[in-house]
Amino acid sequence: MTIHRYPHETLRNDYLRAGAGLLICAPLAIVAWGTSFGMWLFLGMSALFAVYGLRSWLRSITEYRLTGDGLTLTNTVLSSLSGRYVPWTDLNKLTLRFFPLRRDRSEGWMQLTVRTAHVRFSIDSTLEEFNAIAKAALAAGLRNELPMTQATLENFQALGVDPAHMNESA
Amino acid sequence: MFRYIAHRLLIMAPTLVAISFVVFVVIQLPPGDYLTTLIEELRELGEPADLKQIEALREEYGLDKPFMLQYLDWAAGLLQGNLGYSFEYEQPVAEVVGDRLWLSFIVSFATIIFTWIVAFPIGVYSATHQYSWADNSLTFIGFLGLATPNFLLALVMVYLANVWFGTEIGGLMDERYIGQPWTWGKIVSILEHLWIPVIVIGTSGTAGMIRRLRANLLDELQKQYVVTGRAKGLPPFKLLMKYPLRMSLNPFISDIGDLLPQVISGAVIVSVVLNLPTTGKMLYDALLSQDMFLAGSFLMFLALLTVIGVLISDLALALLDPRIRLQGRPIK
Repeated sequence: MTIHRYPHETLRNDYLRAGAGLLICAPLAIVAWGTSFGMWLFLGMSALFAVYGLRSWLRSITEYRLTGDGLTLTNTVLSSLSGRYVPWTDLNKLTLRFFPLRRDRSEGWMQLTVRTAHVRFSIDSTLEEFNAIAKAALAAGLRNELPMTQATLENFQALGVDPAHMNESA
Repeated sequence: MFRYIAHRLLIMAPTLVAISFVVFVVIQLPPGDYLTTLIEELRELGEPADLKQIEALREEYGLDKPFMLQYLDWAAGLLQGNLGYSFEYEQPVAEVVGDRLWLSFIVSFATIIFTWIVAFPIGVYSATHQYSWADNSLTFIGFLGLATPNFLLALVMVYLANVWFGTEIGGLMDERYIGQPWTWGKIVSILEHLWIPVIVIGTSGTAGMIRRLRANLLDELQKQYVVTGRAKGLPPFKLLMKYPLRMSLNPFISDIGDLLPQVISGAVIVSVVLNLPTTGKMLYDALLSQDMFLAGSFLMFLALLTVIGVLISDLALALLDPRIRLQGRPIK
């Protein structure tokens, strides 16, 4: 079993983004108070950055445990969020998307989504040892003969996890 | 996706703040202000200027304050929906602009829809029937469209409508609806008049889009995966729709950000020729006469459209094409 967490550096940057967003949008919302459009626009954006900060905090107390049988999410503080489990045998959807930060797609991050009938995990590539989880998910997807889009297959290839070779070895 | 939206919005908010500052610098750049220009004009005409009233106006609208204070007042006013005061029209900007922003938006939106509806089938047909007589004819018409300035096409249409049909085609609605509240009759009248400016403004954009779609699609159609699809017996239409067309659309989605402001600012001369009650002519006049609050409001409107357009195109691109560039740098 391996344990995977979001690194401190990534989380720190996410907190900084949330803080900067709030710092910009909340004063603008206050200045625009009383006018319908401006107020709601900046209030909405402030709320979004607040949720983003909350989400970053949730990530800081989240661990993914990878075993040969599946992937478990553990929350170290909120027990109600702990214990969600994706057994590889029940995996029914697998996508790997790329979110570009530049127009030429030379920078960005990937997001792996694994889903069963009841549970869905979306994991960013900033997670420690993300490739190991991606490789295990792809192997399970191939075993379960899941349909995968061309984009997902190309993205796995870009990660260095070649679906064609895995298929042969499977 | 949520993280992506937050990233994009975090770029958008400070960008708008920075643009508002640049816009204010630009409208303040010419020496003096509207009131100084007014005094000069009155002196040249030999008419006495009411200096007390002018000083009162300067004080009322903060033109005697330091630059940064003026900017902060203006930006705070914008946030609160107060667009300032138009010195030339001697009315609040919101009242001067009136329906013009909405009418500009309607004309621009209709032009974009017209461009896409006409360009897509023609571009796809031209690419899939390369060098046929239809492709050559459409290419010729496309080049004509690209080479013809919009205002010239407007003049030609005004002339032909006058000579052939004995009718005026200027304006965006019947005269009885100008300055009147929005009614069903006014909307119908706008729709009746809309097609002419839409064709005039949209023709060059349509021609450009046809050329680009044809070129992008031709590139895609020659790639290995399309040949493989054909060899495996995929129906041609399904094969075309599934990947090559989607891939060739990426540049259009990237361009959404530039499209709206281009259509609005590019229609200035057409709006003069066709006597359209849109923002183009008013922006031009406001910049000439240093009517700073009016010009600033228009420029901020254009900037807002650009930033929103870029946000929409970034989100649409992330949704439609979630691939990494294989030769790209490592992911974060």
